[in-house]
Amino acid sequence: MSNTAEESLLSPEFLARLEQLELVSRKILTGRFKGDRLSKRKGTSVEFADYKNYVVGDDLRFLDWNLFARLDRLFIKLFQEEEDLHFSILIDNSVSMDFGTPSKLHYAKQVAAALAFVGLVNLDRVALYVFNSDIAAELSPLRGRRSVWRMMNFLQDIKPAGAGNLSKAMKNFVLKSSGRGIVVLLTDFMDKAGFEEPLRYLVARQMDVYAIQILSQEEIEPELNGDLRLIDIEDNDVAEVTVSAALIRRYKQNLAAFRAALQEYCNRRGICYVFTSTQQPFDQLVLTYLRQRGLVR
Amino acid sequence: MRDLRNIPYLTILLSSWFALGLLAVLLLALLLAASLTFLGPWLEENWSITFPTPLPLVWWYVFPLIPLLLILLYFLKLKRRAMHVPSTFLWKKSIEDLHVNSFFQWLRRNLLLILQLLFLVGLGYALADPTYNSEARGRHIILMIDNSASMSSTDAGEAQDQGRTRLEEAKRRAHRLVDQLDPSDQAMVIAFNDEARTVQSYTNNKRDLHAAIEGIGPTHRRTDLEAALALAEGQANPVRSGVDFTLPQADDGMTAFRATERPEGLATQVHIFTDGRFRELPDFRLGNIRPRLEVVGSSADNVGIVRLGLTRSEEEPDQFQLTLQVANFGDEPIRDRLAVRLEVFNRLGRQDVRIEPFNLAPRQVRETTVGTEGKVRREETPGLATPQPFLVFTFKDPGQGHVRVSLLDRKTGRAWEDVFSVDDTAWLAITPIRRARILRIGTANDILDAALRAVVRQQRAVVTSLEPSAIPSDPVYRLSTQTEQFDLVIFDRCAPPSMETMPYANTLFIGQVPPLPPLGNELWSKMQPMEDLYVKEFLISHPLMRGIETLQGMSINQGRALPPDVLPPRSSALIETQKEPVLWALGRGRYTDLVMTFPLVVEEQGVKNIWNTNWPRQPAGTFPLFFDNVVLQLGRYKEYEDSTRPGEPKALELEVPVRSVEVRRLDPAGDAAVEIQSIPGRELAFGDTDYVGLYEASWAAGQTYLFAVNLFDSQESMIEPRRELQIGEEVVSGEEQPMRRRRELWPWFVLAALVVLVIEWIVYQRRIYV
Repeated sequence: MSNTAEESLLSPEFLARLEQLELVSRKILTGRFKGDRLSKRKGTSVEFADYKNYVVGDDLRFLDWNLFARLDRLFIKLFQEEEDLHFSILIDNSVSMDFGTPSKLHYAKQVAAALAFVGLVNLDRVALYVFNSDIAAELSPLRGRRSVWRMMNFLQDIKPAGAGNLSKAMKNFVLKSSGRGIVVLLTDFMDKAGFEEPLRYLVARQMDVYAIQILSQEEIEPELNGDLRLIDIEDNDVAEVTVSAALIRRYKQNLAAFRAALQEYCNRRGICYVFTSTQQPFDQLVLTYLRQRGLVR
Repeated sequence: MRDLRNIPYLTILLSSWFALGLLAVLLLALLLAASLTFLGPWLEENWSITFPTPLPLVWWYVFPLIPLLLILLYFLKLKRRAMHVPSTFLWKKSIEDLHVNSFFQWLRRNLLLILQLLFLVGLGYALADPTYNSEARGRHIILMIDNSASMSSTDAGEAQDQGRTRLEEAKRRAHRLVDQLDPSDQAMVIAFNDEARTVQSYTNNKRDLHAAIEGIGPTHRRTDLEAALALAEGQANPVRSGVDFTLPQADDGMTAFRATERPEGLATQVHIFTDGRFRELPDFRLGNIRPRLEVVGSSADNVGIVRLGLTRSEEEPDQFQLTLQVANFGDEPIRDRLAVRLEVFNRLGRQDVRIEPFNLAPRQVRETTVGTEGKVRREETPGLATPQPFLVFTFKDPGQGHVRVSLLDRKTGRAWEDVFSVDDTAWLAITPIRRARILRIGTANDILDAALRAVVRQQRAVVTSLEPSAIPSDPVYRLSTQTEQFDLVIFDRCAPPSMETMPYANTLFIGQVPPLPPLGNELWSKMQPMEDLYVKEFLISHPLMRGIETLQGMSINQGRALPPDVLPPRSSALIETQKEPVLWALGRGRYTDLVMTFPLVVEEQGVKNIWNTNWPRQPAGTFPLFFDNVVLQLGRYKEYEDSTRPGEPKALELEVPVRSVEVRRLDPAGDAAVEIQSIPGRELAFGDTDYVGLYEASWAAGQTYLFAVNLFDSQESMIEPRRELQIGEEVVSGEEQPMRRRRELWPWFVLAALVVLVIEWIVYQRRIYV
């Protein structure tokens, strides 16, 4: 919303602190290139993993000759593979995200920038996706510190547009992204179709999902008065309300119930759910809450 | 064990509270409608509640439309403010169960509607003006408002509005009382000072009553409650005021008729709004009057001029001596604060100013117990100047002019300020010496001539003499019958032939009588002669007898008796002998005919001037005194104008006949001039002397004539309100008694409606059921 805030998604001081962090996956995932993370695959690191019987075609370099000498049988030494990490950040840029001070979208961009920076610095494959009703834009996987500026440019170019359709966007995302990895979903989850189906897509691909729900202060503590015709900015849906204490109370109850339902859904499926308000300093979110949740270390 | 069967009913009741509430509102509205129509008489009879609604009937047909409109308003869609939100997702969810589509569901929860309807019903009740009548209706009430001088005291206000006069306060209370009247009450307004005036006769029109009360203005007159009470009593006790029907009447056929028409005395409440400064009326018969005193005012502190006298100095005839008496009616002595300023004005302007400081003693209050019942009589004596009770000023005769005496505050040098300012200034008009113009008709008369000579020598009169033969054709005499050429015409043993030829003047008949009808000029000869008369008694209070203390020793040789059937109205016998009166004062229009039915001297066998009475000698000095009085009173000799009291008509004794006179108040100035037309044969009098001040009468030739109106009344200057008063046998207390009045119930309904409104507001704010 505010351009000055756009200019500085991340401050240099904050970047310095982020450099000390690294992304952590709760799952051992497979990557595509060699990296410095243990992979599910056996590979060529220095870390011994297991033995397996030699079959024709195995690389003779990994035969355990000592064992062959002792047992007269051929065993192949398996080592832990170290691979890079697939790190996808999904940013909701539907117009509903363009609310609040700072806007939810800006907040999402800041969180995305911070996490992407951590990923890039740690040589993870960082992909960025922008979605509203579908995947609107994507930044093909980047690696390395030198890609930071591209990532930043990409983020800064994101403008709010379109109505949200979380379900369709997620479906297309999982079709597009090949590998499994960490997926950070930055959205407000205000989708009338519900949150269950889109999350199911992600879970089905066994991705390590972090669902970060960003709501503006106006949504958490609405300060409305009088008789209003509320117009949904995305689909022009109209809700006529007469604001009263009771209605506000009920709204808050509904919001709490919605959050609780989302939380429970995520917990059951191993999704890490983080709720944040745009009023919460995003660096605190990154440095404290996501650290507690184990996304960064 | 609880009876479980009751619970479903209770639940039903609770769940259908809206319907029940609506039903209750409907019942209340129907009750109101019924009360206004067929139920009204029943309510009035059994509960003495009436509905004298001020709303015309048409409005009552319109009124039910308002609730209908209100209900219609509820069907109107609200104009809502459009507002963009990120998502209506949660809002939709929130209003899902609040959003009511079904009309009845909506109605069921709408407490606001019921409250608003209740408010309207409450308002309807208030508009119906239900009234609980605590007393029998149709009372008769007389409001008597004192507008005498003391009511101009500015001590009636509360602390917040200083300077409110007692009259204003009295009027305010009267207005309040009128507001409380029932429409069936009849009320009447009387303004009283030294006379009572009905400003509004019996009516129940409150607007007229208010207007009448408002129209009562202040005067500087004195107070006479008796006149006012008599007027009120006349309304309340018509029997006593009119013919006494208990006495047998002449059989003229009217008696029976009147007897059947005999009105019953009406029990009448008389509210007297006054400060109580008038004498008590222990002899007054109240009859049906129930007086109530509403006392206004609080202060007694007043200093006033109570007497002003002017005499010509004995030693130096061109000097006047002014005697002034100032009284303190308050309880505090006044020292070093008060001064009196005397200003003498001649025709050109101010001639002399004197300022004399003086002190005043406080008033003395003496309470004595009277009778066996321990009744306390309170005597109040105002404090006078110390050490000399009178202040005397001597000043040079200004010729024509006036004197103004005013009280000064020595500290500020400005006019003295107390709550009652009417008596702080006094005026006296000084006119040039006016000599009596006397026409003497008759033959030689030593006694009369000596008396006239003395009067002329004292410069009190100018005498013209005529022989008896001059009547009636002599031009001088003819003039006196056409204009007021003379003040006094003395007929010595002669008389005009008829009443038509009587002069336009006061007359003195000596040894003769006026040609009174029916006998005309034959009257004297037909009168009964009397001999050897001595004076038995005389009318000591008459002005012509002023200064005469006794007439013992006076004897008359011959006289005649005036038959009573010729006496005109306004006749009084001044001197009575052992047989018949010999000196009469007979009224003739504005003139007085003084008739001595005995001659002073007689002529016997050619000898003139034989005394017929020893009055000039015995009692010594009474005859010159009497003759002086005659010249002063009938001849209108004077050197200054007597001060007139407020309300008394002032006779304008002008030297020349005029057609009309314009009278204006000079000091304090500001009033519009009043024109008076003169009517021949009638005294020219100015009646609008309601206010104190110096008045000037002027007529065509630019001639002026000054006279003063002063209060000079200790009773009025004693402004302390009296709380208790004896009227008849009743001691009326001035405590403010709550009037038993009709109780207006509408404020309660307005209050109820307001409470409902407040609840409605709270409900609206809290949205308990939105």
